[in-house]
Amino acid sequence: MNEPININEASFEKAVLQSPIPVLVDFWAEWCGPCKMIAPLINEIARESDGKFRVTKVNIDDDPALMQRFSVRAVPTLLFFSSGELKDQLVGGAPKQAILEKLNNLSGSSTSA
Amino acid sequence: MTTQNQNNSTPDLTQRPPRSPRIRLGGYVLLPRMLDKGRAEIAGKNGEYHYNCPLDQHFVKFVGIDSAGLREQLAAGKGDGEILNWINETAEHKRTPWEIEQWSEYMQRRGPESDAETRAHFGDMLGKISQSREDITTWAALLDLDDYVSFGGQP
Repeated sequence: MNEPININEASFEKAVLQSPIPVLVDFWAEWCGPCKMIAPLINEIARESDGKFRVTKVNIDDDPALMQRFSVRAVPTLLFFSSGELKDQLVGGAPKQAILEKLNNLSGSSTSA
Repeated sequence: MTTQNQNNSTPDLTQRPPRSPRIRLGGYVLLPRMLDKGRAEIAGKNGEYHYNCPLDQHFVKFVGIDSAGLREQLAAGKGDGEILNWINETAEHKRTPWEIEQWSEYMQRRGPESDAETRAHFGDMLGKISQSREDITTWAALLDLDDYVSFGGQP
């Protein structure tokens, strides 16, 4: 079973930009209530990914550089990457279905590319 | 003219409560209350209030400061503005306005949702103050009510 991968600025290039499959990046913080609310959903999505996409997490307090690089202005912010490019994002608490929909859209486009 | 009980430089928390946890300084909730408790503790007039309590530690952790260092600044007699400047200069985490706002909003609305033990503690505290105040669902509201009742108010 897959779990979300904790990443930072050093591992971002390989884990996200060079990934052969779409990647979800969850920007979160310990002090963020909505982040705690969606954390179980993010874990579920990672476990159910079945190799179609990768789920990663960035603790903004540990790695503010990535937050600044992508102009994150609220947490949680979910960024969706495919083929090394930022394709989509969700800001704030989002339902599991909305997150999966965006990932499945990327998986579909990634497979057909 | 200020009386001893009203002197905000050395608040006497045996006579009145500290500022509400909802009052902000530099956008941070909790901070003014923490400063009041620190000043009172230094003066030996903190009563039932404790500087660097678990709630204060949320602030300490969020900005990344040393609570003992902050206490030294208070002992030097610095005012709120000077203390805020010291925090902004020495904090490990240089927080952006949106982070401060989001953190403060969360802390202000935060209830005892984390685990059963915390919920039980919250219920025990509220139960000692009132059996009927079902509107009290956040830590900030509970502390405000506790302050009010502690100095003669009726719940």
